[in-house]
Amino acid sequence: MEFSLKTSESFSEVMRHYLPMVYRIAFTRLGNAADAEDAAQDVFLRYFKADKTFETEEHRKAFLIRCAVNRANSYATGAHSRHTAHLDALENLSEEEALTGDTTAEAALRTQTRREVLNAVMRLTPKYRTVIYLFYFEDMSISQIAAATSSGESTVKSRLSRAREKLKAELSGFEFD
Amino acid sequence: MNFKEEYKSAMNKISPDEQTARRIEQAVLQKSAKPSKKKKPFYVYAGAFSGAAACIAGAILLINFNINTSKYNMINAAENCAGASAGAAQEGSTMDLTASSSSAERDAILSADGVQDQIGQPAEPGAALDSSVNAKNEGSFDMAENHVNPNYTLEFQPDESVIVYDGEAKKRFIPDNTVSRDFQEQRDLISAETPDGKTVLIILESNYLYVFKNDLKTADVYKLSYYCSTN
Repeated sequence: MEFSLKTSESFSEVMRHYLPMVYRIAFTRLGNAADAEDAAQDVFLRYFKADKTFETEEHRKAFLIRCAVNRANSYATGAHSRHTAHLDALENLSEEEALTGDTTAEAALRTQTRREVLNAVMRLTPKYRTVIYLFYFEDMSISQIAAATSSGESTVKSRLSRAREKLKAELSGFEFD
Repeated sequence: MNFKEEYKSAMNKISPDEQTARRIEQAVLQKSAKPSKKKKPFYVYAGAFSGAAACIAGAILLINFNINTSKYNMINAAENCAGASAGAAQEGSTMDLTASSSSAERDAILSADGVQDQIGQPAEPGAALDSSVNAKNEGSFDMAENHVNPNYTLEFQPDESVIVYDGEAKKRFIPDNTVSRDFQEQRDLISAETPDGKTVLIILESNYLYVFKNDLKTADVYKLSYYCSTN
């Protein structure tokens, strides 16, 4: 699938497809929805202005991930960083469950588990959070994460290993493969 | 429980809603549609460079002056030293030589200072000065004419506004005020033509148009009213 950025329709397609991913990367790093939204906006603005052509969708995805990681890092270190907690998004979890009408004890337990998992991840330092997200959610390999975060593979491996250790200490009864 | 599954389920819920997605998309399209910031005009850089050059020239003059002064002091010291040991004739002749050379040098310095003082004095208005200013202005005019930009055409309108045709762009400027400036270089002026074939020297900034008078120091300032394409 080859998109041309010259038309706003095709840009919309790309944006709609990748916005959740870019938003999650930014949210994982920044910890609040408002900053994540601003960072995502910046990422797509850069993408639009770059007007690149990509050989494959994997290349496009890699470009957007790298861009999102960099923008989120800039936002986190910038003066405009809000330093707010991530509670707003976690609250959305229970709101979503309520909207689906699934109010059984099992659903409540599921929501509680997810909140615990997300809380544990968000309590990690940002560099560990990003690696966890890219590895477990985006199913990226160590070398792909290294390229996206501009780090060495050994750095990524050690970050992943330390992040797992910290999560294991917080979340008992979970398997990490 | 599998961490990956639970984490993926939790993260799937973190996603911008439809309204947020639309807002981001509109903001991106709106921002990217804005024209990029115009580059600074050439004369800004020319001014900065000439300023830097003036500083360097001043520093060189100062260093030269210090060297001359220290040389003069050294010669004086030699003179005193030689005067104190005025026994030998050979030494005396050496002293004379040194003294004469030092006085000649001093005279040269003084005469150079005298010239500087003359230059430094404020010039009185007179016919000779006027002619030199005129000659300079004419020369500057010629220099400015070397930068003819045939794309600029000026149309003075009956309502005192000015229409500037810059290639395919049409800009209307309305009168703002009159300014004067004191400067040496006229290189930042560009010439534009009026429909009746007259040449006018102007500076065209993004939002302001300066139409210079014949003295090349005072200019009528016009403010941008609207901008459109002639196509």
